[in-house]
Amino acid sequence: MILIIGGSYQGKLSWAVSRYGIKENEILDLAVSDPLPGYGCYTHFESLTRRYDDVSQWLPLFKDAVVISRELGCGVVPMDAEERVWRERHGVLLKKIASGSDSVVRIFCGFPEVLK
Amino acid sequence: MKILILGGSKSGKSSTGQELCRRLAQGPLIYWATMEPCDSEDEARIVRHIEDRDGMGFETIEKGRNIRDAQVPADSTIMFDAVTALLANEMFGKGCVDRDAGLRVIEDLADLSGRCSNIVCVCDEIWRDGTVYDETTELYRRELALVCRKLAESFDVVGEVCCGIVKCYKGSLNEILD
Repeated sequence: MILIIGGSYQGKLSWAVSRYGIKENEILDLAVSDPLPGYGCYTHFESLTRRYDDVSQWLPLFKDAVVISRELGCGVVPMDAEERVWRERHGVLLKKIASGSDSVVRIFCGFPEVLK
Repeated sequence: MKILILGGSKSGKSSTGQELCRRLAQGPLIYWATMEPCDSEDEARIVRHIEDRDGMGFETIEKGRNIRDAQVPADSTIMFDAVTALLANEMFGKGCVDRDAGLRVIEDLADLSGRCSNIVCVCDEIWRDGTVYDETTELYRRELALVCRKLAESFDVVGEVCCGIVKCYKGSLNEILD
């Protein structure tokens, strides 16, 4: 498993596509679909954690894939409880995915920073 | 040399940029201010920034949009502060949302960086929170990121400032700052 993180619009997917030679039909956009087996790249992981309280049933699908996620935690902790809970479970999951990943890369302005 | 400096607010982007410009300059030093003040808070901030760079030898250009209209000497070193305000002025300055502002800013900054000897562009880093914004704010965030990524492709150095310390993602500042 490989985890790619970074802020919005930093070029995370473009970088992953060129670095790992991912083809368009191998990418599953979690903003428009729940996870399905057989994809090489799952992007917009933050959309999945926003929709569901518990995403653990799908985590095994990511085992041999590239997971792409936005960083959410650098703003003010919001007043709204649901918004807070989303950041909380997203952060916890990213730590879990990162610990099980062979490599973790943060993308900044199109450039990679290898964290693991 | 062309340098893009990103970072959070009050991270030291401007002071780092000014220092880089002073070390790079072999001709006129220009501080290009893009903020168009809308209240007394903005005016106080401008006064503070002017005091900060007093005696550093910068000539100030105040132009927050249509930057192609301003002439600069070919041997000048420009501290461009900041891409953030330039895009906001170009996108929202006419009272409606201009969706082409991002592309225009990319072209205008490429044009300006070709007309001077050195340029340091600074930009606020606003992409790592979890807020779900309205459509207009989201457009601005996306276009600002695209402007930065486009500049980053052609610029020599891309750095992030934190607490006044620069981390380079492209190129190096070691020879300039040492």
